[in-house]
Amino acid sequence: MQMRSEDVCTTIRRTVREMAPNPEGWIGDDPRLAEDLEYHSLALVELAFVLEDEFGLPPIDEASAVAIRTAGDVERYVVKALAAQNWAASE
Amino acid sequence: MTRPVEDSLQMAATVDVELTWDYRSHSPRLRSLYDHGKRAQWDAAVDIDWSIEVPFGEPLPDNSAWAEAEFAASPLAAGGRRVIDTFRWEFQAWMVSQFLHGEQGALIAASRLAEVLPDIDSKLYAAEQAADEARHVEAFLRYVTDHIPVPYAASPALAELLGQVLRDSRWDIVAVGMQILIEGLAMAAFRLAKATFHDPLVKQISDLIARDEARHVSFGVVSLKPLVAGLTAAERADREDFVLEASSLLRRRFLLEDVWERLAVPPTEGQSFALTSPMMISYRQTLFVKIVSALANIGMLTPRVRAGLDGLGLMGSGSALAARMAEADGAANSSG
Repeated sequence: MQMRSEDVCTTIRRTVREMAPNPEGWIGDDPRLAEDLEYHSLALVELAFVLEDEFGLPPIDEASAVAIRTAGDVERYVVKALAAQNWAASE
Repeated sequence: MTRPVEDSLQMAATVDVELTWDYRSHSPRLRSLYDHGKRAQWDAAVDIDWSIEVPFGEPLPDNSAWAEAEFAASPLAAGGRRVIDTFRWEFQAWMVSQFLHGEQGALIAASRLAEVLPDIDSKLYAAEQAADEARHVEAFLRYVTDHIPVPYAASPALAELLGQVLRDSRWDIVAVGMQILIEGLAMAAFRLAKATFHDPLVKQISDLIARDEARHVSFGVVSLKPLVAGLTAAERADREDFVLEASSLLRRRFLLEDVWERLAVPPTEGQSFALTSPMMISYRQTLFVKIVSALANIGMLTPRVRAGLDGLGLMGSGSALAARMAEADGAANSSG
């Protein structure tokens, strides 16, 4: 079943918030994962597992992971990975 | 009965071996996993840069502030930074040693599945997985031989779990034990290598192997899902018992009794720290995310199993969410 893009974004943001060690730190539109939501290394890996399973994504590579710092970065990464996957499937 | 002897683990197992003369493919998904597995083969001798140095035992860079605070409250704190670094290296040595033993278990289990699974798609896939596991054993054996001064024996809990899985004559118990539980945990552990291991060589090995493990868990899910759907209540309860017993053994491994013993930390203090430290709890829960997701996907995350895993402290927020999502997907697919 294919999700609409707004559903995808909502699911991503809800997941990031629900799994945050400090969900109360979600202030504004684009909270920082480590500083605001208190994600540590294990929680970040756990978040990656859940998003990969939910959206059927391949494991995130090191360079992309290092560049992800905020909830908005997570959203943009997943949306882009899904677009790449859909493009590959249509080829 | 499982009989541990000095340098081996022996057991008697009775299985129904089956050859098929029906060579038609009945599962495009399994055939696709097999084809993908063939294309994804790598060679441990040439695709790993064995020239990378491993400074085993050397001082390590600072941990995260969170981990530093956890270690400061551990039985290791009295020994200062040197003892904490020794623990971090020993934990890596223990993990890699257990990976080596676990991969051999997976090699035997995949070979067993090739013998007993009834259809040609499953036999081809299982044989291909056995070749994967052989490469994993080769890679970890070389790392352990070259870089771990004193490797660890298989932990008692791992040996017990391998015995339980490989003694059983039912193929689905072998598949749940190996493809879902042991492989699911390994897949997460390899992905955690960046956070828990300390040299680029073992990270490179873990990265290569992690790519294979995802395929192995997929095989478990594809094979088991139809079988689980057809289980009677009594058969399902029996599998629930197995999942909970196996999960308990996997959890027991990560109380690290053999590591504390080597570091001369009183076992009760060490295990109490492993049991209650938020860092260690989070580690075990992260290791179980893939397992919980796979159990939900095959229909084995029953209320009883979920409650049991929760009672063992293995259901973190990630597992709860992964389970909810897998169940929602399943409901959407069955109603669609």
